[in-house]
Amino acid sequence: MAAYLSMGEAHRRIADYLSRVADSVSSSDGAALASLLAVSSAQAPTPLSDALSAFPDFPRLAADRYPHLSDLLPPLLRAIHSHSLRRFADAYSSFEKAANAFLQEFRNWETPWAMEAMHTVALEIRLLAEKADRELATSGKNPDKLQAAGSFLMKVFGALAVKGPKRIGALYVTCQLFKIYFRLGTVHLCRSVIRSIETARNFDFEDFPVKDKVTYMYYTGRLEVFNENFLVADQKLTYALVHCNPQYESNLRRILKFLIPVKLSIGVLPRITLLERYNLLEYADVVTSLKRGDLRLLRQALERHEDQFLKSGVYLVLEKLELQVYQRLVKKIHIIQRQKEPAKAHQIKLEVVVKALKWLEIDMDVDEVECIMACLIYKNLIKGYFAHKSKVLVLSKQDPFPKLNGKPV
Amino acid sequence: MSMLLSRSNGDDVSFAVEDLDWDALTVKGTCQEIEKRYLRLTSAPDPATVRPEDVLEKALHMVETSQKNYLYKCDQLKSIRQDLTVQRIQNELTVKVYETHARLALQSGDLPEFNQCQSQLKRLYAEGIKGCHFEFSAYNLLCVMLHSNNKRDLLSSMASLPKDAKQDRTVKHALAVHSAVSSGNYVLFFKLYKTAPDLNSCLMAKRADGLEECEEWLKAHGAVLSVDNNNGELQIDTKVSSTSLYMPEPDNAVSHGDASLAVDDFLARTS
Repeated sequence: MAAYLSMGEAHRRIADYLSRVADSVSSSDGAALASLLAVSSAQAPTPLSDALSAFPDFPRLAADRYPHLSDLLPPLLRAIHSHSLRRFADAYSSFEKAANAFLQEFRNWETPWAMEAMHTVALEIRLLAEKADRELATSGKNPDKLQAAGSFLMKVFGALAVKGPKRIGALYVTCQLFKIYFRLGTVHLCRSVIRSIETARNFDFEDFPVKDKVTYMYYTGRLEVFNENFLVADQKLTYALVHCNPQYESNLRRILKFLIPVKLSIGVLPRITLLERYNLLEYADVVTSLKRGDLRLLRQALERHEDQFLKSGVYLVLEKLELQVYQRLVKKIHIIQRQKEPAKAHQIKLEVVVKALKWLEIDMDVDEVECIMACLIYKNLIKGYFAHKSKVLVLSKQDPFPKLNGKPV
Repeated sequence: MSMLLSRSNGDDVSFAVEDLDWDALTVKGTCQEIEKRYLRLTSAPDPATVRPEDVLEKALHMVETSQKNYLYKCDQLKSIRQDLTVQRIQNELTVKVYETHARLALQSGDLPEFNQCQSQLKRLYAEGIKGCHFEFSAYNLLCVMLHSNNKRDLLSSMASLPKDAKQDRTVKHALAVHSAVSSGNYVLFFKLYKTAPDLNSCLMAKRADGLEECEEWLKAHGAVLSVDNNNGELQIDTKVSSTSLYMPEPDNAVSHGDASLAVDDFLARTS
């Protein structure tokens, strides 16, 4: 850190930065412009931020030198300055002004040369908003910057959702919006962007860059998990998994975290080695309970990892696996009876099921068991009927325990 | 007075009760009437019409012990709530008032009023004011799981339960109801309905009723129902019903019975 920075040197550094920005605009150099706009990735004091601290009149310098960029440059410098002083709420407000000015210019440029810079702005505004909200929350104020960033990005989306080459950049911005909405818990707002992407004639999904498609499928897949549309969720999350760059292991893990419960719901079990490889061992007991028909183990696993499952939103999906566990339990009873007395094996006394559950320390009476069996028959997990008076479940002689075969319960 | 109003909104926009700068207008009431009807405020109140805290406590007690009907109590409680708001009183008395109103609303099946009180209570509990927050967490859970289809809300309600909440009897009951509904165990659901603590049964009632409609529907479709003498169970006599029971046509039924016959093709060829 410079102990003493002369005014002349400070002035020189600021002027240098400003001229690089102006040059990149005039020479349509998208990559250069993008790197100059990356405000939040700057690590604590930089030579530029030192200069801004030493030369407080920088806004006027920027406006005087480059009047045609006077809406963009002064707030941009203010944002950099505030960020270096860790005043994130201020940094956000200034950056938002600069971003709006940039968007205006972007709309006027005919070609999409500045797409990379636009994407940088989209990313930066989200990152700054997150920092700003954290700061506001800890000082007891209302954290509303991320929401504001969302509104800005909707404007950007509108500027990209047009006929012409600019539309290629829309999916990236969509993904930034998804990240914001998921963070804020306002996922219902995703619907309008999704509708625009999937039904508008402006977009051909295949044209978008692969990495954007993967991110998009990951988030929309997760939304389908919430809505319990397991077949669609399977398609989308599998797409994301297959097209994800295998080097990004943490992304693969994120996808699997949601794909595994979906697969379990349609009767596909992962190998324990997969869970180990990607550190998803919270699912291990769930998988075992499905294999063994061990209802107690499933409930224990849900309780032990309750916080995690609730936070990621898969808790309700895993709960519903209970019916498959019951099916497995009844199947095991059937197998044992077949070995002991094959002639009467297809008749299962409900008392036996009650006993089996009691053995698993689960207290259910005959009426409750009958109710569950009725559910299993209704959902086609068991083929049969029961003789109510004699409290016996009579299984069909053919295929009494149909496999799910990729169809959800 | 008008200076205060114009300070809070510079332009001439029409204002609602919420827009008034209550901080500047906080009055100290002097009214001593225990019974007072609800009159919606649209401007700053006259302190002589607003009751101070000690009178409001008496008013609440009066409502709690009154024998009059829900409409009367609701009206009185709204009036108490307004007096509290106007004087910015946000303490345990406020919580008690909302809790009382919420419980009465539940018992009378007034869900919108209940939801209003519930959202005020959430805010007050979040500020650390003491009340029956476990009881109302349970009601919140039951509301989300039985009266809405919003999985995300259910997940976040469950996630935001504090650790010690799960020891509370009412919360435990609500969670057990969730388990039962999730696995389709309606036998357990009805057992829990019969043994519901506090007012959980009021929230379960909508799901529990439906038995009469079910009976009517079945009878209308030709089922023969009887009551088992031993345990009072309602049963369908399937043997007898099988001749009279109405079976709806499958969607792809064809008049000649063989769906695989290409009738159009046949007709086209022969013409």
